[in-house]
Amino acid sequence: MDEQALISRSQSGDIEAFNELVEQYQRLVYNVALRMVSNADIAEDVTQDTFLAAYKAISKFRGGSIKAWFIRITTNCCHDRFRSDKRSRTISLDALLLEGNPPSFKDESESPEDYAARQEVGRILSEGLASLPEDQRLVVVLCDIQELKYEEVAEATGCSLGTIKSRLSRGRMRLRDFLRERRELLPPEYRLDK
Amino acid sequence: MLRGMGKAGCRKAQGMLSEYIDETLNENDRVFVEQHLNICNVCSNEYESLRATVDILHRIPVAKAPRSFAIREKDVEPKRASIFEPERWGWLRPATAVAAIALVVVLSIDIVGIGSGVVSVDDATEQLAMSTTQEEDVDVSGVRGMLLPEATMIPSPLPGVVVEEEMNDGFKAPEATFDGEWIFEAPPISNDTGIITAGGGMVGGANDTSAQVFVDGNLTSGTNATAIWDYDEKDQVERGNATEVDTLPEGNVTDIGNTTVMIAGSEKSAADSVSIDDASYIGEETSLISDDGGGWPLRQIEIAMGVVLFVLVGALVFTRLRRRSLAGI
Repeated sequence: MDEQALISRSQSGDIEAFNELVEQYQRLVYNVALRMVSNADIAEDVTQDTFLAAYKAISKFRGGSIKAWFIRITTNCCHDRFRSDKRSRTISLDALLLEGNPPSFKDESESPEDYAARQEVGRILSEGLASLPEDQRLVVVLCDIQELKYEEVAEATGCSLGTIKSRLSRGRMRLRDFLRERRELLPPEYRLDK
Repeated sequence: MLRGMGKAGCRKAQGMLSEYIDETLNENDRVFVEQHLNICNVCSNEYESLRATVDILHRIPVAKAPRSFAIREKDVEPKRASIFEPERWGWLRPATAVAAIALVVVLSIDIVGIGSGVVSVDDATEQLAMSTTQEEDVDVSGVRGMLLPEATMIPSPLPGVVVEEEMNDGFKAPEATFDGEWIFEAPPISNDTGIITAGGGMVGGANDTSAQVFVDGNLTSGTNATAIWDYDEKDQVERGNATEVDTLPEGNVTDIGNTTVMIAGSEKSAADSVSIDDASYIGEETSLISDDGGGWPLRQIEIAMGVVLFVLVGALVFTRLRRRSLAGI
């Protein structure tokens, strides 16, 4: 069944049809939430909240990209989370340092040393992302991790293309500076100035 | 100078590096950046580091969803709020405030003693007496603790009656000099009704259509009186009946000699005129009051309100604690 049909049936209250959409987008939503809140448990909660909120509001969906719509709800849920729990930023940073939710990398065949190095890079990267302002972090996550097009990000965030480009540029530079400052902590292959 | 050199050129080029990496620049801008990077080491280094940063970000894999986030029916069913949910008790605060204010008002009334809502014997008697200065029937059946139902005190048209005021038990008779006579009339309702007292003691009971008047302590007419009342003071209402007439203290009946008293339509007086120093009706047995000072069960009301307030405050504290508990504070 195509996406539009699933949306129409969901709007009629068909929960099974909506769950097919959930199945299709839950990975994206979870990843956006994970990179935004930097905590796996909170990201799970945010993801569930996102789909619940989406199901309740899907009758108001007036076309466009359902993907962008889900991302928009996700970012709203993340924002609500930050707002309702003043400690969430601290928690996320602490979680990064103490529990560790570093992104693992794509290299499949690696030695234990490489794995440890990769974990360290992931930790520093997560910390770097968490250090970005929320608006810049969102654009960096969507463009560079989720690899969405500028137009999709603009639709998901409700911002203009110019704003997206500007935030992305500033976010990248800020993150670059963050990584530069921690150059000694990074494995040689991840150092920016070789 | 080469095109794109200088600080302005660097600023412009660096502002476009991010888009250059994403290959979203138009042809002119792309050429400008490329030319600038070829001749500017600073910007070239900037580009390399930014490129490396983006590469690292691109290497971050997309995590798998740890579980299914499918919606279940029960997730979207309207929740039935538990009775313990604080949201259901939003009315508690205003209710507590109202109860507290009401209690304060009642306590104030009790302390000040105004408008207690209780009509004491004295007050009611006074009301009655004042009413009798008007030439109209006085329906005082609603006065608690007083009077027979539908009993009336009717000024007589006969001349020469002087009604004086002030009595020993606080009762105030009409102050006006009344050109007529007083007829105490009580409806012949039952054996238990139609009781009149006058003065500090006295007088009269009704039995069917007959009644008795006691003047100077003596039963002046009839023998079938059924009730004699001695209204001594407001806290005590003693009751007797015909057989107890003789036990009434002397002097209880005073200054009735010059009146004509009609009870239940029968003339019972032996005198031509009368000065009634005080007179009052006291109701039938069931409406006699033992006025213990509070009159109405004000104390009980206060206690009940206090209990209600206590419960409300308790509930309020409970909901506050629960709200804090739910909020994880």
